[in-house]
Amino acid sequence: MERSTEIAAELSGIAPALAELGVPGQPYRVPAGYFEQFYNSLIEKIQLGAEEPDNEIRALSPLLAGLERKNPYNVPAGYFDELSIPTPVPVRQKAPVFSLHRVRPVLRYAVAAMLTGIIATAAFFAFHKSSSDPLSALNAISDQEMANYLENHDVHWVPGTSSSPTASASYDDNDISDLLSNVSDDELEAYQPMLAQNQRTVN
Amino acid sequence: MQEQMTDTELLALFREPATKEKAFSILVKRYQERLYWHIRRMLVDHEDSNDVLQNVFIRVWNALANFREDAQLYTWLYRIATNESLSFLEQQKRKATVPLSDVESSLSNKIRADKDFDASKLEWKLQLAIQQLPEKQRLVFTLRYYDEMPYEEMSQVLETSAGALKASYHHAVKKIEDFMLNR
Repeated sequence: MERSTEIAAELSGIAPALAELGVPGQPYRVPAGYFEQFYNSLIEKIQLGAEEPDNEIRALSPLLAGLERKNPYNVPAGYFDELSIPTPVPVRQKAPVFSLHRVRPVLRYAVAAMLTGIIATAAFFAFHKSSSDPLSALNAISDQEMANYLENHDVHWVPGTSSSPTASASYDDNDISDLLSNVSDDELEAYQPMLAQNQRTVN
Repeated sequence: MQEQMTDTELLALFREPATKEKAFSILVKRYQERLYWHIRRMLVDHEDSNDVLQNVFIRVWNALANFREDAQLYTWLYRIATNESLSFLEQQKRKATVPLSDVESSLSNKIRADKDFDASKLEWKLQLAIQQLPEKQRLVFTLRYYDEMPYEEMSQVLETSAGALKASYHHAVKKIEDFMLNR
């Protein structure tokens, strides 16, 4: 099988519509005589690059080739005899280390302090949870201790009585008359037995 | 006589100082057109292609004496031509400092600027379609479609497995077909 046939068959297999269009030729053109002259221009370029400097400059510029190659510059007398170039001593400098995580130290300390505070607070509440309940703490205190405390703090209370020291209030007769002015006599009479009963319960 | 000379004989002739230039002239005349068209399809412009072709043969002149016949001479020449073309395109990209897509569209513009360009002709439309391809696919397509290069030899030129080249050619043909039929 010819290779061109093989490639045409391959193309038909991949893209039948493209193969049907036919195989377009080469649209580009080259200047007339380009390939005939190519070798001569190429070998000229190669020879120019490979030539001796004398021949090269003669080919490029006969004027420059004809000039005397005299150096116009001078150096101080004995310069090259005295020329000494000190051998550079390699200085071993420690390479600076740059952290890949550039977090400012102050910020790091602040974060650490904050975390410590959170942990300490959480631990405190976890271990002191039971004692923080005021009702359960009061149950654990005996009546005598409570009486001593109230005595020391000038609060008068006798164990076994329920009257609150803070509940005391002073009323004169006029105030009571005003308060009871809208209450009927029947209601007052009905209240008296309840009052006597309450007094018995308290005592 | 020169037409029948094999590449091995040509190399032997080149290694002799007395016949070096003669051997080189035979080699250049044998391969110049194939390499020129390979380069031209990559670079589009004749002057650019001429510069690159000259550079290719200067490299060949300098390196041919040391060429070991592990590979075929023509695949070695194609490899040099391919690398020189890619280097040229790379230099252009760096000089232009424009995005890659702009450089590729500039190649399309060069096609349109050709004095023989005719948008109604299939062969020119095909050239525009080829320029839409990524560099590697463009190379694979032109080497296969125009140079009819077997995948095994192409794999030596492009240093890619034959399987990968087949896949690349398949993708390239599909893209070109789409361009030719839909634009």
